[in-house]
Amino acid sequence: MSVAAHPTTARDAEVQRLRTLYQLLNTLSKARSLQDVYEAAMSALHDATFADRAAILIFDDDGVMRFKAARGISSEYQTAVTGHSPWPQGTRDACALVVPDVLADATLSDYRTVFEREGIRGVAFIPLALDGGVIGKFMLYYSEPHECRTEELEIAQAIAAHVALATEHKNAELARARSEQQLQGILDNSPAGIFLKDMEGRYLLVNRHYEELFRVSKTDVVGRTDDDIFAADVADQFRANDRAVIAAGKPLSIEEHASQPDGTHTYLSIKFPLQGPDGTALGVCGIATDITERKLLERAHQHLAAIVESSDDAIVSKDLNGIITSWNTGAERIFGYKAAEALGRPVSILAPPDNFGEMPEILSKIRQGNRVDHYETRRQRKDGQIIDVSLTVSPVRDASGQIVGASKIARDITDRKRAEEERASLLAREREARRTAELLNRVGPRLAAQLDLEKLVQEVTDIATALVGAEFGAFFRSVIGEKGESYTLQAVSGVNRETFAFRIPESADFSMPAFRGESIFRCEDASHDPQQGVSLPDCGFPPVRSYLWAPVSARSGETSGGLFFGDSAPGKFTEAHESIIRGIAAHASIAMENARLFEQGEWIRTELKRSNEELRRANRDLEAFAYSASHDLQEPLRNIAISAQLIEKSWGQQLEGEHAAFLDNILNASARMKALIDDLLAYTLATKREEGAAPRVDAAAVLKTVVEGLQASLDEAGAKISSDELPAVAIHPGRLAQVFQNLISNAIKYRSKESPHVHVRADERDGWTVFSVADNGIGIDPQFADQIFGLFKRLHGGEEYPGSGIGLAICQRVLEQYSGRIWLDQSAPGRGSTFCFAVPSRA
Amino acid sequence: MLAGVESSPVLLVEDNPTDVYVIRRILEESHLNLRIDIVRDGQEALRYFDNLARDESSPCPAVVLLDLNIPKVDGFEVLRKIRSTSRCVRTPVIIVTSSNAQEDRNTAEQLKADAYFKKPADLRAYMELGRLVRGLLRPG
Repeated sequence: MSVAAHPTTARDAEVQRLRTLYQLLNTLSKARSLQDVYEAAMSALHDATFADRAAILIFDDDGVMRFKAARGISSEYQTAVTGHSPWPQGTRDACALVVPDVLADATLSDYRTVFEREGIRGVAFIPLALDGGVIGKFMLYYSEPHECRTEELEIAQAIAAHVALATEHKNAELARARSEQQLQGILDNSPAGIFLKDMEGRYLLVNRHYEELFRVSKTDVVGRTDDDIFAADVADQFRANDRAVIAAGKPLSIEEHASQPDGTHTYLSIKFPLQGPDGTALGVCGIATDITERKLLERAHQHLAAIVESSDDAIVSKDLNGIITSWNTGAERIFGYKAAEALGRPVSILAPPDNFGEMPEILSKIRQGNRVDHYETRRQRKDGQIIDVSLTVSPVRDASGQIVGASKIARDITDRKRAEEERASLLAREREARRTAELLNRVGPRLAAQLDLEKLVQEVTDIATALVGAEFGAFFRSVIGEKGESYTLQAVSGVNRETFAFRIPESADFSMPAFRGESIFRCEDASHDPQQGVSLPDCGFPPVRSYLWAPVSARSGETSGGLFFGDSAPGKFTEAHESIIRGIAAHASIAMENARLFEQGEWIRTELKRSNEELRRANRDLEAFAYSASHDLQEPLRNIAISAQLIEKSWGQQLEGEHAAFLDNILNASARMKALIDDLLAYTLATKREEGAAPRVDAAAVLKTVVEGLQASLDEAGAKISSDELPAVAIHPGRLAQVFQNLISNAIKYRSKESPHVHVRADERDGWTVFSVADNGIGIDPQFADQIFGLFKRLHGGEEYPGSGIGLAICQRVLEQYSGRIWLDQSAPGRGSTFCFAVPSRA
Repeated sequence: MLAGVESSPVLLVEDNPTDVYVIRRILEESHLNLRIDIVRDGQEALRYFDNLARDESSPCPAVVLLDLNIPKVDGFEVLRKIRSTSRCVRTPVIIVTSSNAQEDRNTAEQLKADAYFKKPADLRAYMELGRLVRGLLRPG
């Protein structure tokens, strides 16, 4: 209370005190916070009392009296006296306490310095109390020692009572607000959708999550029913469930569905009836969680479980000690144990007897976090059967990532392995066959190249013996002797031939049936079956226990012999060997055939050469004879002719009649004979081959020479020879001259009444030069075209036209030697003739 | 009459009587007036020239008519002989033969025969020989 406003009368003071209380109540009613209350209290105390300074202290939660508001009190003072309270918290019926002079009070001696510093002498403690007792205090501070008057204390206590009440109210308000906040906080932060509906199904309350769950806003929901918010079927569902809950009178857990833009969601709603204190149902409260994801997970989990169950592979899980913890149908099928039999057993029950160490090894890999992938191994079924499996084992971790066990997928690959083995053996067989074929391919040409039969047989035996790796091999040739068929040893490989020579006897006790056979015969062990024994004479052959016989046949199909391979070890020869030998025998057959043919061919060739030689010699002899004969005939004939002419010269005039005729005969006959012999000589000379290759001669030059040589007779006949340009041809000049001479002579001889004219021209045709010699003589009937080239063939008697008719034959023989020919190109009686002959243009 | 060679004979080396006869007749009708010495085989011919070598007084023949196909020693041998003598090395020699073989003609040429006459079967053609002889007897 300010000194300035100090009341003068008791009534004024009373009015003043009432006014203060009135103001206080007014202010208190508007107070929003405790601080407002305290401030209001401070103001009231200041107005109503004589205190210079005042403070309000309240017990806080740990029972320590603390300053809540103060006027004119330093913080040091506050700190110093905090906690001091004349009454413990909750003291009932506490009374105000006045200390007129703190410096004189022994109980406050502890605080003396503090009081002194603060300038406080008199204090009054006014308790703030509620039903429950003291909650705090007012402090009135006087700078001078002060005795409080009763009115002062009363008004202070009245203020205190109001403030206590107001404080309590405010605290209660605060508490309620806090509690409300907490509740709202729970509601709003809950991950579940929380709602409250009244008995009519109207929403009283929804939390934030509910809004999110159903994509609605509070304002759209509160006061409305499900029919207003959701689709009809959904609303019906909700309402039915609500009724069920109320009927049950206890909480129910229900799955509900509602469709959202992204699909149908599933909600787990725990609904319970809200009951009033008297037990009546007020409404339904529900807590809903969207379990769509969880349901998906559940479904996925089920799906996975179904996969595991339906898988053909065994899917087994075990813990780190190897104890089986899961066992699917696939495992039951593959391993034979039912799930009940397998679960809880160690996984080693599957280990095959020879491999116990593998499983612990796998487990240790798993423990280190490694996977075992497609590992092929064997396992034992319940029935003891060993199967091939392919394993994939992976570590199984718990939520924290720690390895807690292993999951194993096992696939039965027994069939696959069997197929692989089969394939491998097929491939091996194929490779073997290919190798055999290659071998034979290489061997074949070698054998084929060997045309010497003996060498061939030896080579075949050597190669074959080496290929099958036999201790020895032999080639037997079949020989038809007096006793029938037997075999002679022709070639041997692997043993020294000099140490023996023998014949395999053809006798009843010779018990190798195969020698007669036409197919390969293989004996694995002759000692096992006496029927298969082979009697090879005792001359250096090692004892034979296994052997292989392959007949070698000629093209006619007859067996010409055979290959025999023997070994002292049993079972030396295999099917593969058989095929190799079959191939070699075939090649050998052909090669031997070829060798024989070649021999024959050689013989024939030799024969041919010899006969050709003889023929040539005979021809030469003939030619020589013809030549010398005609040559030798010339001389005596000349004698006759000359002698006859001498007689004629001396006695011709005097001969008459018969004698003259006789002489004429002799003269004519000898002339004719001379012509014949000359022609014969010419013919034999014509058939003689010229020496050396035909040179290229200028046909024009040759013709010129011939014409010059015939000039006398040409002049006599008044003949004219003309020619076109003539080329060079490949013929000996003398021969070409012969042909020209013969043709021109004939043309002159067989001339018509006109002066003979011969024209020579030449054409080139396909490497041949074809000359044509055309005359204007008497011509030839074409039907005689061939005859005129005959030896001594004449179409006219000797009286008409002289000559022996050998000219054209000579031309033909001459041209034959150059592979050319001559022919009558065209002619007709009275129209002249054109003869053509062809000569190579080049050699 | 040709001076200087009056005493030189014509030597005929020929064995065929018909040819001998004809050649003699030809020479006579050629009016050569030369003695004709006839030898009938090669050996005789060689001896003829041997004699000539010994007897310096005997003259070499004015011309030799030499057949190739003569007995004992053939014509070419005789020709060689003639050409190897010191006295008759230049004596004109006419090969008179029935052979028309080119080789014979070649050899005749090689051995320095002066002419080659093939004996014809025709009498008239035989007369050529006369002209041939007369031609070779001209001096120079």
